[in-house]
Amino acid sequence: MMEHDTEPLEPNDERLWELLTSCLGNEELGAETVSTLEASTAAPPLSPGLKSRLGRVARQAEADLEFATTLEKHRQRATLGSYLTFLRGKAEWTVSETAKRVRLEFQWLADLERDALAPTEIPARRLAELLKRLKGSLEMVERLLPSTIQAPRQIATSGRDSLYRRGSSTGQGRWSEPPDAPPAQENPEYREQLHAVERLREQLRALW
Amino acid sequence: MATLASAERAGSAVWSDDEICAGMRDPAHRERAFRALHVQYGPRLLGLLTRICHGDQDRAEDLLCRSLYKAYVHLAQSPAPRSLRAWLYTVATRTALDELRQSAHRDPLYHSVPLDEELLQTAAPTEEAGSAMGLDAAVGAVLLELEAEDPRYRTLLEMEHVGICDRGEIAAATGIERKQLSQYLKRARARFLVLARQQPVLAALERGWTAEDRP
Repeated sequence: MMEHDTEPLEPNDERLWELLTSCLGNEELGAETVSTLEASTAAPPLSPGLKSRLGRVARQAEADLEFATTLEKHRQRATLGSYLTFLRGKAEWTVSETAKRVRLEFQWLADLERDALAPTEIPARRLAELLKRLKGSLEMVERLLPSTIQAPRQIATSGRDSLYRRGSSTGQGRWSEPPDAPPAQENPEYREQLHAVERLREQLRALW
Repeated sequence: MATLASAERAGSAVWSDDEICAGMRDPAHRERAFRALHVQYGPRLLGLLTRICHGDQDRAEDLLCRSLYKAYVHLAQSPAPRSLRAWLYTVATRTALDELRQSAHRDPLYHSVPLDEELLQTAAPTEEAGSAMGLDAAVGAVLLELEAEDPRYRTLLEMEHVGICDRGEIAAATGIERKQLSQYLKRARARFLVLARQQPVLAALERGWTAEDRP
């Protein structure tokens, strides 16, 4: 992508350089950089199609702001299910009405809304169709897709010498472990669902 | 909101940056302010994104929509940026770079930010996000120092690594001869590294790497 006709760096410099360049652009660009980029870049007119698409972007962003406010008000967690419920509510459709209009199974939609489906159980085409009909945004859905992962990230390794128990003094939901307990391993099911999220994201983009 | 009212009274077709930002904060004017924003800045941003995407118009349009979605959400609920123009260019290039990095990493959680963190801005930053913010601030400080030494250093680095310009494009845009450009970039890179090591956050990070590498 970029030309590198400069001399190679020492390994330490190389590592720091990579980090620095990956951070460039996270802070606001310099005024002179912007002026130079602006002066050297063509400004093609926006096509009528793109203008109308940007109008849709504005409506979706406005709805997403409303969704964020609603979540904050009700102290709810942001999930794909809560987003779909919000969009359906905005459209003033019931679950059964939505299922009928989008030609979905009632039970599948109900399960999706209560975040009971793993990413492997969500066909991209069906989700894309639903989101389009409910006027959802791809940006928000992409952020929420990881919330469909059902499997825990790590699993405790079991063994004869392992001892895991609920510790009364370690706080709710935490496990006390003997000092020599083997470390927890990543759950293969979690990894599988993570890849399913990635596939779903790519398919949704292609279908959008 | 005074600036916005004056723009409306004058029936001005061109909105100033202050008017756009004020309009975006006001739900009653947001739609028109956003239209003004994309009419005034959309073509330049599209041109920039098309270049970053090596002429792929469809991809550039997708990225423009994504960038302007982010701009809409941010401007509706946050204070106006120091310079709207610079901020929009930053959002557009960052969106494009994130996209390129994400395609390279193919990890669904790469660079994903929890919803509450960015959209609501109410949750306390996580340790990881806090450390990333510290790193960005440190790099920002280095860039300011670099710019104070020679403004061209910063411009050249940002054009190459953020604007994804090739050497020919940089030479044409800056008026620096191609032969000299390599020397400039080499000096900019060397100074960037020296100044970065003077930042405590970055120096500590490097010490950590050295400790990790030790057998």
